[in-house]
Amino acid sequence: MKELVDALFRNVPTGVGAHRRDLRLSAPELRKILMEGARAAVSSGRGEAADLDHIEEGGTIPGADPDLVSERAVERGRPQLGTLGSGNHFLEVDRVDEIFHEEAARAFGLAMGQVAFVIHTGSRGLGYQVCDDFLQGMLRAAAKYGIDLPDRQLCCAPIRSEEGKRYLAAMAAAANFAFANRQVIAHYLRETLAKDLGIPPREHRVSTVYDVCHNIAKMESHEVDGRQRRLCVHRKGATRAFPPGHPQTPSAYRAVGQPVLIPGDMGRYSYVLAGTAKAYRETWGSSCHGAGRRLSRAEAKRTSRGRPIVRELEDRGIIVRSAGMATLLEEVPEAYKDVSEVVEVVERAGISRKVARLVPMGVIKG
Amino acid sequence: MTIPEYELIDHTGDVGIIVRAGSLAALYEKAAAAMFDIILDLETVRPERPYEVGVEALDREDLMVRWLSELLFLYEARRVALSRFDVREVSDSRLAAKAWGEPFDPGRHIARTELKAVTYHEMLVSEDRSGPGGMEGAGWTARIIFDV
Repeated sequence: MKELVDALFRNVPTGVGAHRRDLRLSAPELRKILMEGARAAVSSGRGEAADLDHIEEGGTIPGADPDLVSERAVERGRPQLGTLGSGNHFLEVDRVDEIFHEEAARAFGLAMGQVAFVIHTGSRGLGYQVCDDFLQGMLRAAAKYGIDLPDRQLCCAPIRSEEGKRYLAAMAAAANFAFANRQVIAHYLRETLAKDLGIPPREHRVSTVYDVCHNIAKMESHEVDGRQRRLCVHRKGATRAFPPGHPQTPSAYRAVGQPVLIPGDMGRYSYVLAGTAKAYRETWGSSCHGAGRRLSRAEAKRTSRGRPIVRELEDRGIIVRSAGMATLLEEVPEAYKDVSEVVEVVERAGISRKVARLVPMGVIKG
Repeated sequence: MTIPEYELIDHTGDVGIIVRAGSLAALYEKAAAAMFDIILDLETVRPERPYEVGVEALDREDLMVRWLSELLFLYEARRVALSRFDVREVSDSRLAAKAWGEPFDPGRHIARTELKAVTYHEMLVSEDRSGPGGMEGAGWTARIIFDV
């Protein structure tokens, strides 16, 4: 495990300015990524075509306009493809330690004792910069459309306005960058298994169970008061949880529902759930996306300062590698709610059902 | 490098700070130093090279967001570690400054927290007539929340 975690830590760039020397995106390559997302990563040889079926929207959000991504966003994001970042972003090596729903687990390709990897990262600096750039325009738009703002960070424009449409097209481009980013990291992961550990693809057989966003707005049709309506559904800190039988639930999972991934903290568990018909009705096909913090970052740091976090976790059988100590202090297990309790609530509310529980064996943090 | 004085605000998920200073120029300087103190170990940064920064904004709060966002962009995209800030001109809507630092060197600089963005959320730049911490004279206070 130590060998694997160290190799992953070497091969998947984490922390400030870290990037792979062998990945330099040309302007046309980046443009293709902004348009096509994970599909562009696959066609450049960094990804598996078979994974595309198991990514939300097939790994490409339609309607992306790369021309709306500023030069600054490009400059900030271009070297960051295939990088993890810091904060709560991570790459985890887990073991399936409990199965709750045999049929769904089988469909997802999960079995007791099996190794699973969880990748949590997004559009990186490119996405942050797109947000920054559009905030300025949205401040003007809010004034123009007479929208009274309780807090400037909530500045906005009507979805159908020119400003609204432009933002959605830029956001789609950033989301596509995120799909490509995770696909490239999955590629580095496979490469690590093959090259550093000598396990060829026919033996490791790593394939994507599911890749899903947890901060994105999308146009979808849902029933509201007995009437089908076209809605812009913004899932922020939430994730899509489509039911069995939905055309957008991948065909391999059509009978059991879309996989819902709920990571916990680095010391306890992560869960795989499945979307339900009830979620589709009551939450427009949405579920929660993580355990959620219990302590603020400042509080977590204050209470854990000086603690040998790496050794503590190692004593519990979890190998942790991080680019910086500060992140580890902020991310100590106690900083988060117990994900098992959170998942219990989700299941009792009926908005997803438990399929499998994963325990961490190795964690890479930015 | 002296570590700037600022107060960390408990804000679940994000990081917030409160900065106090005797003048508006010093307030923007201190806020910048505090932001970089969150980002990296300031003591490892040599203020060797000057970087010119100029921003325009709608008002003082917007100016704070744009000033700090500009510096964050220098760090994130241009890989410049900054540790000293001289605000030479400041009004309610414009700021001109020299920021001092050097190219980021992963072998020598110790990075701490990656900030995604400077937000407008609960942003405040206000003049405190009674002075900071109840001291004599006028003072300025800023509250800034960063997206982490």
